[in-house]
Amino acid sequence: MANARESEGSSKRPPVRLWLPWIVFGLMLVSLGLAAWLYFVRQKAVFIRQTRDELEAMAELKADQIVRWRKARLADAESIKANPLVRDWVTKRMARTDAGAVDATTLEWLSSLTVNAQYRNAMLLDPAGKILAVVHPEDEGLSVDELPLIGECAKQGVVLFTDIRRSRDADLCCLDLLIPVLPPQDAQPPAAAVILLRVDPRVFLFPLIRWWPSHSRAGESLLVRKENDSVAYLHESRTPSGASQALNLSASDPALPAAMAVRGQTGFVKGSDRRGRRVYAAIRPVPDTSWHLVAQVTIVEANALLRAQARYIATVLAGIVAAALLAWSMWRQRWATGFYERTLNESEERLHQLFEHMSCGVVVYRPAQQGEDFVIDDINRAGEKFSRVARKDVVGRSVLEVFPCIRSMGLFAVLQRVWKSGAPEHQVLTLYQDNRLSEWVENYVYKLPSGEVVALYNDVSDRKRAEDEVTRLHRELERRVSERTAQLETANRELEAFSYTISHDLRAPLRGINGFARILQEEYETTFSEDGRRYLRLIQENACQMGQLIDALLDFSRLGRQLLNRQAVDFSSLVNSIVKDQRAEAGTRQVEWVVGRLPTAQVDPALMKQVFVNLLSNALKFTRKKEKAVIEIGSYRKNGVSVCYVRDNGVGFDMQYKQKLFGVFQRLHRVEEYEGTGVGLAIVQRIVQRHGGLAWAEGKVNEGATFYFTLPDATVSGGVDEMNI
Amino acid sequence: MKEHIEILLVDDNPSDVELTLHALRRYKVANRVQIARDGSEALEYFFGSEPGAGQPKNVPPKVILLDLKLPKVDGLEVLRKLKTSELTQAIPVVVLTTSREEKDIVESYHLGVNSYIVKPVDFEQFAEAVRQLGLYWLLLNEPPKPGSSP
Repeated sequence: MANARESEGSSKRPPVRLWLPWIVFGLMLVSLGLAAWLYFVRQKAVFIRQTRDELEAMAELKADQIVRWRKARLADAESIKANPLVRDWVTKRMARTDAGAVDATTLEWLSSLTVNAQYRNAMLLDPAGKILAVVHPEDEGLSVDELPLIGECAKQGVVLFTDIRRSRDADLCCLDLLIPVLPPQDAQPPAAAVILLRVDPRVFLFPLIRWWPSHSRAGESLLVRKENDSVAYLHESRTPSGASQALNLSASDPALPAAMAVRGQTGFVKGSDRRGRRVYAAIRPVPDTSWHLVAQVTIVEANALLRAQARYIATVLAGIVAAALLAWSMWRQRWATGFYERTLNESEERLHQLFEHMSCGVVVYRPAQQGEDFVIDDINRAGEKFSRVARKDVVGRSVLEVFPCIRSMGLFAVLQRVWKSGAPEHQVLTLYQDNRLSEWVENYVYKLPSGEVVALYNDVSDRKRAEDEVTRLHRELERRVSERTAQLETANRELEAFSYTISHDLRAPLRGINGFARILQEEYETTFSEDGRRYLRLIQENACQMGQLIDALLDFSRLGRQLLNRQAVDFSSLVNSIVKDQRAEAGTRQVEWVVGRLPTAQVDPALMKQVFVNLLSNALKFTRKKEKAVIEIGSYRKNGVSVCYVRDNGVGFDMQYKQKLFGVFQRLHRVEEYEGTGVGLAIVQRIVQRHGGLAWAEGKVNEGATFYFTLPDATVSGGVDEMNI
Repeated sequence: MKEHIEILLVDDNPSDVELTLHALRRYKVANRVQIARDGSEALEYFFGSEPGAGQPKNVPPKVILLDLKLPKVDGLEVLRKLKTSELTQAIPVVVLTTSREEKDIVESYHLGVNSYIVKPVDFEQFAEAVRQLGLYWLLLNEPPKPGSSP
């Protein structure tokens, strides 16, 4: 039992256990996600920093390279400027009358400059900007903006680098290096001429800018300059798109890193490039120029690795979750399976134990042949005992075989009905009888959901036998009672007939005896002697005495049959009226009547009057010889019961005869002394008994007697309670 | 016997009859007493042998003294018949019996008896009772029959 309880307890826990893993799992998932997100955020910051570092490094590198390149060019120019041979030679040429005419030697020299130092063109100019000699005359000449610079160069005697000049159609893109040719002697300005070396940035500078040290496809360096209110991209785009060159983008574009650059911003920024791609950029001005270098990379590319990492993390996370889910579901399935198996086993065991230990027999029938037969599937111990079979002998056998008389008993029809309808049935007490068994059984038959039919039954043979016995005894008792009743009725009838006979027939002869004796006495008085007359008188007296006895006996026997007519009777007034009569009876005798408190009771007034008349006349009679008779009537309560008494100071009686006092015709005195029939007290007792009370007497010879009787229904109004007499 | 009958005494006990007659004689009322020895005789006196005859067979008495315990037809039956017949219901009936059975007394009064006297054993008492009854019913309590004289 204790085990069953424990297992029952454990079977209630699983619901708690089932949701707990979900919580743990959820928490794990959340913390994993959080960790992944934090990692991602950190990685992103790292990546951004890396990108920034990279871009800034790139911008610095490029700017530095441009600066170096410029310095190299300027150094070239300074070396030319400082060369006395050049000064000398050019001054000589300028001093010639045919100045302005470019001789072949000058051209050759200029040309050698272009070839050696990879200049696109070289010119010799006078301080006013007039071209004295030119290596490639087909190339574009000077721009108007250049002329003041040429003048300044000549006047100041310093080397100047012009800004990049571009033609609209991008055919031409150049910048010029202006070198003053100072006088050979003092080498002081103003210069007599200016050498112009034209650089094509596309040859070296632009490739330098374009060159991107990493394998990035979307990273690029831009060299920009402000032209009016727009941004000019000085170099060609890395991507071979001719149109980009022509793009004139507004310098006030807030998101364009190039615009930010021309507006003077530096450092690391985030924005959109001219193709609308989100980019990170590092901006840096190029010293001594109006140029700005922008190194930028699209965010998509910059974050490619981050995304890859995120994808990787997500994949790993998903893998962990999936693995956890899989593991948990497998565990749960295993555990749950185990639990349900365990529960099922426990439940099965419990039910089996129940089945086995039930006090009523249980047989499980499997229907066969479409309900034309039933095969015994199982039977419990009580069933084995009741039907006196062994399970191994009957399981699998037809019920008709095992219990051949099951049809005649009616149970087979019940099984069929229950199997067909599914409604349970109760077969009341039925006798099963074959050559092996004879037992009274009560069957409860119902159908299982699985289709088997179960019969629960009790061997009630013992009970039936006991019931039969009870029924038999009951009948016997009834028979006896009716027999006795009949006997009693007969006796009553006989008694009635008897008393009728006595009252009518027995008195008639007495009357005859008495009457004729009287007639003899009166009419034939003289015929008889004195003795004869005395005998006649004795005959009459005896006859009268016998008449009285008969009357008393009749009165007494009538008491037993008479119905009580109960009503409230006040004993005080009843007794007082009797005392009044008795006073008259007493005549001249000296009698003291003491009437105490008396109760009121539900009694038959006529019978109760009889009681008091008998008792008071007795008292009066037996005090006859006293000089002064004292007769006391009173009552008291004892143990909740009213006791009435009549006490006298008469002759009394010996207590050893007290049993005789209330007997019929029992007398303690001779008739000559005290006349009477000997029925008075018997009548008193019978009346009291019929009212449910008791009567008794106490007395002593010559000292008087007291007669008591109780009345259960009496109530004393103002009476004396618990008074002991 | 068309002579004027004053008392019909119905009693089967010869001793009682004689004592009753003696008592009645004593008080001079026994001159015209008709005696019926049982109930059927008493009924025959009034209704003849065939019941339901129109006229009374004899002159109705002034009083009927009826014992209850009678052979053949008992006293109560006689009383019932007398009191249910128009011819006889006016005649006073005094039940004069030894029976002190309550049910007899009750039944008698129920049937309309005019008086019920228990015959005492003592002759003096008996004679006194008869005398009183005779005086009462014969002299004072005249039956309502015009034209008849005592």
